[in-house]
Amino acid sequence: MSSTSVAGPASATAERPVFDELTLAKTRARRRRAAGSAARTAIQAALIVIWCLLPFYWMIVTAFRDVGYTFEANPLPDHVTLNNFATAFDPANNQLGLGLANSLFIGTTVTIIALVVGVFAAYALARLTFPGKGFVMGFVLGASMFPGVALLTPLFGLFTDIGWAGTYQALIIPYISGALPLTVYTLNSFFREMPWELEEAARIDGCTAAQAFRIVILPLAAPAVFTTAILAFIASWNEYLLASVLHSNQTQTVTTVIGQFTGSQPHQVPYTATMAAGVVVTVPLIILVLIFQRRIVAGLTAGGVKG
Amino acid sequence: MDGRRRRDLKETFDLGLGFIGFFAVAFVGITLYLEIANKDALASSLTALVLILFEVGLWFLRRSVLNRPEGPDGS
Repeated sequence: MSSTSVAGPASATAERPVFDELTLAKTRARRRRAAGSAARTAIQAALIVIWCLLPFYWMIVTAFRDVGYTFEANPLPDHVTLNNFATAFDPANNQLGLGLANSLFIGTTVTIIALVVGVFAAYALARLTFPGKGFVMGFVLGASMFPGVALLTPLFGLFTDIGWAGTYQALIIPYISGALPLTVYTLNSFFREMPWELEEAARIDGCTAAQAFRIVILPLAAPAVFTTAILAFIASWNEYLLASVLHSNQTQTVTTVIGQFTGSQPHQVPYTATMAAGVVVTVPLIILVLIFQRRIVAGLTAGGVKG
Repeated sequence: MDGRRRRDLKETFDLGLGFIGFFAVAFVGITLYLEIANKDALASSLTALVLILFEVGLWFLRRSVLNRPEGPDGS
């Protein structure tokens, strides 16, 4: 009786183990490459974060530094004091409180108006069919790219002629025209990616077109609306060019107030007080963005995938 | 050219027409203002002219591309 060997998985395993030397070496090399890649990514990310955050760090360090040590090169906080914040808010020298209130009022008004108009415009451009739709989008794109500095002199002349110079509306109306294209474009891309079936289902259930928009579409668009609101508010809050020309003492925004900071001596630039004001202006925005970070990212990426 | 490609192409052309059209309208307005105010309007009028010519050219290109008959392979 001759013995027969059956070729199969069992014999193959016996002849050539799964984890032989070559496989193990390959696995180790793959792991080393993965670890190296992760380390490289981490280093690159750290460099980018440092690059972006270093100016803010330096602003915070200088804001808390005693005025006598303004030009100290030490990167770590030393000679810490809160006097700079007191100087920045001192109504005898500056109008930072008024500037913050004005910026808040103007930013909120601009955001609300831009959103109300922008949501309807974006919805119409994304979901309705009418001739010249693409043309209107191109027009909006052109309006968003028009250089603001070119509008400065005509706007100043116009507002002076009609008696609006130095009023709130002289700032709010140009800001709205800047925020609207941003609003329309962001929301338009979001609405375009929304499934048509949602709207059709609402219509079948008896909703009118307006009700379908209000009850079904708008709640689903909340992340995008929220993102757009924050972007519009930040754009309005940070605007300096138009505000520097179109403001009055009563309507000056926080950016113009900081630009007009004066030192105790002639020709002295109050760096520490300016940095303290910069911290006061920047920190609320950072907190706002950090709190709503997930919603912002969800809103920004919502319209980014096709298919 | 299939329906989707034709629609995308039309949308791109319309976007370009709107974009150029905005600046054309802006420069026509600027030229009118400068003429009424009796200021030098040569540069702005020439820019408006170039933009309008570009707009008209783009419009004819759009028409010729979109009216092109489909090839046997659908392209």
